[in-house]
Amino acid sequence: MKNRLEELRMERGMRQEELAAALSVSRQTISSLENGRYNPSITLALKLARYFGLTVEDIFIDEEEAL
Amino acid sequence: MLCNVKSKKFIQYVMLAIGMISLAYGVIGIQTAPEDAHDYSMLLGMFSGFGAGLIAVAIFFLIRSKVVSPEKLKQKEIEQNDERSIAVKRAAFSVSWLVALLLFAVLAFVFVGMGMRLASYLCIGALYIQFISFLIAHRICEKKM
Repeated sequence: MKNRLEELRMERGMRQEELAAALSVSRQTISSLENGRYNPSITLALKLARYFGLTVEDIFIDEEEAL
Repeated sequence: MLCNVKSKKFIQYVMLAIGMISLAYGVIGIQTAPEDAHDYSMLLGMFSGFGAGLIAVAIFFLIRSKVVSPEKLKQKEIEQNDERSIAVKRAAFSVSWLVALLLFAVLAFVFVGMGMRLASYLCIGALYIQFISFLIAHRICEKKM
């Protein structure tokens, strides 16, 4: 699963620590999400979407579906 | 979150109490045990070691909760409750469960080879208990999810 997390964070000029604090997760989680090593739970995906004012589909891209 | 901190403190006090009881039982037992009861003395030594260990861990966490700033404690709690950390722990537990299962099986064979039947039976018993506990936990989780 690909995502636009890093791009969205950079657009807002945020550091990983700041995003992590806003979502009450660890910085490592944000790093792993951005690198695509970890797929979030639905709860965290919705939290992220709400935080950026987007939908889950706007942030996360299903690679299989994209093909 | 406050409730979580309170329950953690309660667990730490319980650990401290169990540690003190275990240490006292071990220390008093060693002093009153007959001199030729070597196995019993060793068991009592294990009790006192276990008790001392529990006391040390409980005191460490109690001091840490008093000394470390609330911000750092909050950060620590976020790291502990972090969903990725939980996923990592679950994956590590799964691997260690499988390793323990294989270890018991290998040890059962090794002990039979060494002529230590009792130890071998204990390993086989532990293996069964571990597997049965997995089946029970699986059933419970299946009903919950």
